[in-house]
Amino acid sequence: MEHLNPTEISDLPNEMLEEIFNFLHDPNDFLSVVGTCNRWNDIMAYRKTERLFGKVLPILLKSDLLPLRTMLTLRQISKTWKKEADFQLEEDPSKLELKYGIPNAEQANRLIAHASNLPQGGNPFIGKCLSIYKGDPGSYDSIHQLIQQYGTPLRRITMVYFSRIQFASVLGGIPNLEKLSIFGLIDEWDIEDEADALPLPTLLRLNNMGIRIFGEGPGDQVDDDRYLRFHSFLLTAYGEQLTTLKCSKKLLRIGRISDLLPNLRRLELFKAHGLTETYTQPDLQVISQVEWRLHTLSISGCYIPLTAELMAALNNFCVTLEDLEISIELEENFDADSLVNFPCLKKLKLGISSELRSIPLKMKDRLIKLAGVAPNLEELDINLRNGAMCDVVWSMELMRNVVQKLNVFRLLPSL
Amino acid sequence: MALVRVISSDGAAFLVSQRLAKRSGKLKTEIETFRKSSDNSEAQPEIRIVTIRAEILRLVLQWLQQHQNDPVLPANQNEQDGRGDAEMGQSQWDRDFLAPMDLGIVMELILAANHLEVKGLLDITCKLVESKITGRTVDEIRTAFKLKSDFKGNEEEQTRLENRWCVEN
Repeated sequence: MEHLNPTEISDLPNEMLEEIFNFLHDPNDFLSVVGTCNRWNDIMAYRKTERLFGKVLPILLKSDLLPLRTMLTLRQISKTWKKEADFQLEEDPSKLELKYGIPNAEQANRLIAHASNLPQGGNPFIGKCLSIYKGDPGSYDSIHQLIQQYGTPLRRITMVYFSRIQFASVLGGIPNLEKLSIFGLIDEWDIEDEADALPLPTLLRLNNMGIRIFGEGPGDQVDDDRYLRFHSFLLTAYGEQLTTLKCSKKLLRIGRISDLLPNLRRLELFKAHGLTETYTQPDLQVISQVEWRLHTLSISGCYIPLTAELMAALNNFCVTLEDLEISIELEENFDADSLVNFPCLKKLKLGISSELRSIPLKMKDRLIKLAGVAPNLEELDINLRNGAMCDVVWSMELMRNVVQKLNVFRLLPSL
Repeated sequence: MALVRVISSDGAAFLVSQRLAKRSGKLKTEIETFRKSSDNSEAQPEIRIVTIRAEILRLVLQWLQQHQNDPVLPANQNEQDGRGDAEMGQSQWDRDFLAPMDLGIVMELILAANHLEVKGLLDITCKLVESKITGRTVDEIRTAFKLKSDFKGNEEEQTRLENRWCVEN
């Protein structure tokens, strides 16, 4: 009986091979098994739809094919499908239109009732995300109860209008928090001397923070220094662990901001609400001096003149930058030579505004040179505004000059 | 005619024209890389695809051959309005091509088309799987994909209850 004394894996009987292959949970390992030979493929063929789902689902979602209801159905098919659907829902809850918003006490109480109806170990927050609003004054107690009882599985939270004490207490109930978004004014700000005593909990997994302040318009008389004091305190507590920060340019005014965020890789600067914001020379100077090794930089909400200061700010990240989104205002006399090489840049989303009705020839030359600073670009989006910039010949030239690696090119002309 | 040898994970070699192979974004890059690193410009490139087995690779090549005169659709390329080419009608040939396939094979084809960057094939296979999922009940999906529930105890009920909040809110 040679089967009793197998010397090679191919001597093993099918049942035993099947048992072994079932230990491999990674879909890539599964793919390697069925890809090895016909026999192994035949043994495992019946499990393909289950085991390959984890690799297929993200491809399906790339083309935005599945509505939330379908994602919920997928959770009910089998354990593996549930795991993979949940993974995608947690990756990007908002893209899949998953919303757990608690605007008032009533909704908080309903969610508590829902959570208490689940069997032991049930997760009341699919996607592990929650948005809480202070809403009416009575709602905080219910929100607090919800978080204290069920906050452990949460990974992302959005908080709107909370006082600092409430804020710290809510955070204390979410030990696994990864992404914190703060919207609106953290009100009841009455500390002059107490700021340093704010008891912020340890959140080991927190790496992503978004800070947006409402009421920053010129008429709102918001005391910027108080904000900055609070935000500076937040960044002092959590800055070292943050890799992603989303904020308005005002935060750049915090002293030693570069040191507070030593591990920052992704910075998204948006336009503060109600302000027509431009980046002044001091703003750009800060950006050109921080010591962050950014992979992603996104500056949205305004067109920045393509000056030497702006180029110096961008040059600061030339070694590491992979993904850049920025809108520039072209003037006739910009100097493309100030921009250095960006060897890692793969994705560029560029807004261009110009008063020029058509591009003068010598400027076209400089623009094409500009395209050459990112030799490894794979994706280029150009959005044109004002003037007769949608010069098709120019755009084709630009595309040709941005190396062959480019496989996505979109041009949106001005209307 | 310049040829290229494409070898599957289980060792089968397919000899195809470079012109055809280059309709796959991945093979195109591989052929160009080979040409740059090779001294002999006449040498025949050999490309190993370690993640795709022969049966699937044959299907991809068969699909490419049928569509060799279609306009090339660059990977990930979207139209200006952001819509892909999913609207482009599926040919009768494509329908007949996919009809006899088990969904397990279709899933392998999705992975292969994605890896080899064959946009047209990726679109029709994704659309097929999507049509077996969207708007279907749990039982219909399990039947189509030949899956059995492996939930234990009250896990299935628990999942249904978890979903309820999203359905009702």
